[in-house]
Formats: sequence, structure tokens, C-alpha cells
Amino acid sequence: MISYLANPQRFLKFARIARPFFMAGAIGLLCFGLWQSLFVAPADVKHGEAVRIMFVHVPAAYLSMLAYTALFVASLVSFIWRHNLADYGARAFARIGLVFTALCLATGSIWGKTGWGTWWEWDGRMTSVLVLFFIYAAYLFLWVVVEDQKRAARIAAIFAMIGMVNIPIIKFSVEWWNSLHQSATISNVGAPGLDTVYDVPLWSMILAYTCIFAWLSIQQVATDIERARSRRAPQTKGANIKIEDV
Amino acid sequence: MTALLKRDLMVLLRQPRGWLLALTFFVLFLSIIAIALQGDIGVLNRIAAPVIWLAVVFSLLLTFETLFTADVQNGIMEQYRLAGLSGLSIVLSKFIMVFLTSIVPLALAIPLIGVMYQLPMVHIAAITLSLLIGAPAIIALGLVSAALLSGQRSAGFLIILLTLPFMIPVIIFALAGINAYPIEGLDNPGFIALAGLSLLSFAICIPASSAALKINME
Amino acid sequence: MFAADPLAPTALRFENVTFSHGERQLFGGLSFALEAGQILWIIGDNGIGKTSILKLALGLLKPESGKISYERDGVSITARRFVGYVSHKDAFEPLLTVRETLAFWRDVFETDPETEQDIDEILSQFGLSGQALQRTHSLSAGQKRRLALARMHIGNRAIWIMDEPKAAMDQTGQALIDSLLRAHVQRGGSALIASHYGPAAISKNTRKLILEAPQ
Repeated sequence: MISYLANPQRFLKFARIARPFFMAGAIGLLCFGLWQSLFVAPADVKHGEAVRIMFVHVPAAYLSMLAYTALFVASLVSFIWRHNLADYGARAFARIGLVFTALCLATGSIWGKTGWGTWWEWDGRMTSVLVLFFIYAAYLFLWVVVEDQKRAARIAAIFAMIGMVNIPIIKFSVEWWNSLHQSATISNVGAPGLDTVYDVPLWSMILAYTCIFAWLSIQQVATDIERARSRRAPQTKGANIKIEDV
Repeated sequence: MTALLKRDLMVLLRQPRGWLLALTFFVLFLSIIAIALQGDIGVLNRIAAPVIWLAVVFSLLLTFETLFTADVQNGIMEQYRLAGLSGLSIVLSKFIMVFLTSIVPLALAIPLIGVMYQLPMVHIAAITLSLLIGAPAIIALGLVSAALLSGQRSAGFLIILLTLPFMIPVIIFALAGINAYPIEGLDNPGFIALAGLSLLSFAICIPASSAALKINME
Repeated sequence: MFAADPLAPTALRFENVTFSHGERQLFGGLSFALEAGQILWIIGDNGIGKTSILKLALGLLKPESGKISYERDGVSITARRFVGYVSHKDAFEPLLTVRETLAFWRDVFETDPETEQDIDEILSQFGLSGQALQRTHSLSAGQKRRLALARMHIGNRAIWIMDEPKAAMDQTGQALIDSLLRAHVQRGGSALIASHYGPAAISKNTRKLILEAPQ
């Protein structure tokens, strides 16, 4: 399927159907999920009404990782086969990943205010998400700073691949570092003991976010293809070539 | 590769401003911190290890900006490649050069900082050891960023942005090792993790740097 | 005498090569063969793609389509270790002296110490004796060219690829290039040269490839 879509023409055809499909899915699931999480799900014994933040926060955290995994796969494909579409994809995934990582940090911070009484704690999980945010930012800066976009794609791909190896290490080190000095009560609040009544709203929100991710990525790649096409100068003829004896 | 190393060292002796600048920055940065804290020895003792580590990372990264750019942009790198030198040997010779001309002087300067901060002997030893154990990781991570940006005329700040997130585990393990050193000695979990990270970073970043240099020659 | 196998004739082939710079096609369907003992001058205006052809031959650029190959004894090889390159860039460490530069490149090329030429001899052959102890950044443009030629000479490669070798060269410098090329061709070497100067008929195996802007 990936090799089928690797052709820009076919991708645009696919995008014409897939884009509205995921858009509808995203809007529908989002409405259902928000209704479920705001009105249907009961307030939590421990967290009270604040538990509802979880339904926007946890899917954002999940998406920040999903986007990086997608970024890694696209970078690998781009690095090995030098394919334009993989580059467009990688950049789109990074942009979306950056936004959702920021959303994850913001909602986490609001949740922290209700749970810990402070907007920010140097808790292991929040710190590693913050680092992920910086990695996304550095990745996107590479695309901006390197003017030659073909080269930028290859350089950024190497960076993303190194990042893939490093992210688990960063996560591990930060959590280990956190366990050295944090009291247990604080880190427990971050890990909600999930009640099964929350399954429906949580999973519909996760699906909604995934649809948003698919929709926006397809949208961006399709835009990039069209932009590249419109920028292409009318097919110029190459130089005339003659070979003669001297 | 020895030829490359010899050339780099020769050039460095002729124009020592690069590493002298880094060393001066290192000492100045740490002095400023002491001055800003009004010479409060208690606080300085507590923050010595992390700020020394940050000073090392910054002073190294500032010299890394120009590590490959000149050779890539004036065409020397093309000639190396055509001569049959592998990218790996080019990167490795730079690695050794950075170790000799940046890490060693900084490691030697740590006791001086120790005197200025009135650090106990064991603390100075722990910081110096952590720097030596973590050096391969810091250099390797910096080398990749330098190689990735070697085609840019002025990448300046970006090299710091690219490298710092990946430095986080290095710094965490180094500081854990330093704290554990007085009681647990050299083979404490922090230093062991740091050594592992050094090996891993070296194994990943040297080939990655070589690939990045190749891209920037195209 | 050339790296690896001494007299093995090495051929360079372009087959139907297309190359674009950004979105602009520089040339399409470029085919030629450069056999041992031949010289091919690439003639054309600035920006028409002469340097791109050289870089494609060197493997520093990849063609959009088509094939570029080297062949030696019927075995295909890559450009590395078989080509010498004089680019339009300096490609010297500015802080080393001329003598140190040549000694350094001799180490890089790993030339055979049995047959290697004395550096002083090379310096006088290339008219650089007076500059031996001068740092390369203080050389004139013509002197830098001479140094680049000396480096290529040390490398002892079967195919020479040169980008405007005669630019900034005086009369004796241009004559030096012609005599180097003559000797190179006689030994079975070949050369691919980009130039907007008129090509010199070094040997009867000299051809020119002319690139002209399309109407």
C-alpha cells in the first residue's frame, strides 16, 4: 500500500477520498467523545470534575508519541529511497506532533494545578514530554535553516532517526532521575487508576485524535505536492549537445 | 587517519584561538556564576557539579560550530573522498582531536574551578572522572550536529538546539554518578550508565556524522 | 603507475544522463565515453552545466536518470581512488605551507614510498619552489591552481577531472597544463576538462563536447 501511494498522482487521488473520510471521522468522534467525557462520564472519587481533563490530555500524549513514530518511519523511507512524499510526510508529522505535544503539556499543566496545586512539577513524565517538544522544534528548525530543501530532507531524516534511539533513553533517564528525589504521592497522581466507566469517552477521544492526525497529515502532504507542482517551471529543454574532434 | 590528525593538530597549534576561547569561556562562565551568587560557598558547593557540566557542554558546542564547515565549503572534503578516505576516518580523527584539545584542557581546568569554589577533593575528583567517562558521548553528539550543519555558512545557535535535548541523559547520569561517587566509588550505577551511554552514542553518532558529511558534499 | 593496477585502462561512460538543477533541466540524454588515452573538453557558457557534468562524473552528484559508470578490465568500479580532481575551489588548509600541504596529501593518497617523487622536485616542476615555505592562504590564484595540479599529480590517478584549469594561469602555467596532459595521455591516462577557453589539441585523441543554450 505504501509503495502504491508513493506516486504523487495516486496519492492525490487517494487524498481526495481519504481526506473527507478522516475529517468526518474526526468531527464525529470528537463530538461523541466530548459529549461522553463532559456529560456522561461521572466525576472521579479522587480527582473530582478535573478528571475530565484526562480525556483531552491522555490522547494528546499518545498522539505526540504516535507522530514521532510516524516521523521516524517516514525519515527511514526518505533516507533509504529518497522519496519526496516521505519528506512531505515527515515534515507534516513533525508539525502535527509539535502541536499535540504542546497541547499535552498545556492540559497536563492544568491538570497539575488541580492535582498538585502547581502549574508545573519536574515530574518524570512531564519533563520527558517537554524534551520531546524541544526535539520536534529542533527538527523543524532544521527544515527552516537549510535552504536547499532536498538536502534539508536528508539532514532532518538523520536527526529524526537519532532522536528515535534517544527518546526512550531520555524517557528512562528522566524517570529514573525523578524517582531519586520525588515523593511517591506526587507521581501517583499522574497515573490515574482507570475506572472502566471511562473507557468509552477515553477511547473515542483517542480515535478522534488519530483521525485528526490522519486528516491533517494527508491534507499537508497533498498541499505540498500541489505546491511543488505549481512551482515547477514549464518543462525547459536542456542544453543542445554536440561532440566534435578538435 | 594519522595524517588527518597530524594536520588538525598542526593547524590548531598555529591558530590556538579556538580552544583557548573555549577554555577562557569555561572559566569565565563559572566565575560569573560565583560572582552572581555573591560568592556564597554553600550554594556554590551544591551547584558546582551541574554548572561545571553545563559550562563544559556550552564551551564545547561553541567550538563545534566550525569543526567541519571550512573543510566542506572550501572543497577539502571532496578531495578526501576522492582520495579514498572514508567518512568514518575523517570523523574519527576529529573525535580524537576534540578529545585532546578540548576535553583534556577542560578536565585540567576543573581543579582550578574546584579551588575557586572551595570544593572538597573527592568532589573535584568525581567531576573530573564524570567528564572523562562522559566525554565520548558529549563529543559524539556534538559531532553529529556539527556534521549535519556543515553545509550551512552560519548555523550558530542551531547546533546548541539540536544537541542539548540529547545531552539530557548524559547530564542526568553524570550527576547521579558524581553524587554517588564519595560513597559507592567508581562503579556506581550513574557512572556505569554514563559509560554505556558513551559507548552507545559513539556507535550511533560516528556513522551518522559520516553520512551527514556526505550529504553536505552533494 | 596509477593507483592499484598500473596500466589498466580505465573508461568513463555517460549513458543517456539527465540532470536538473532545482526545477530547471540542464541537459537531457547526455551520452559519451571517455576511453583511456583520450581527452574531452567540455565547452559552454557559464551556468550551462559544465561543472555539473564533472561532479556527476566524480559521483558527487547523482543523475536524475541515466547511468554513469567506470570500467577497468571489464569490471565496473566507482570514481573514488581512480580520479584526480582540480575544482574551482581552493581546497587547501590555509594555515599550512605549500610544502606541508603536499606532504600531507602524499600521506592522504598513501603513495608508494618506493616510487614517490621528491617534494622539492615536484615544487620546481610546478614552479612553486619560491613559495615552499609560504602558507597557502597567501598564494595568488594562479599559484593555488599550480598547487592543485601538483596535488593531482601526486595522486597519480588514471582519470583527471579539471574545472577551468587555465583560469587565472599565466602563459607558462597554461603551457604547464598542456605538457602535463600530454604526458598523462601518453601513459594511458585520460582527462575530462570543463573550460570556456578554446581547447588545445594535445593529442589526436582530443574531442570537445559543446553545450549550447536551447533557442
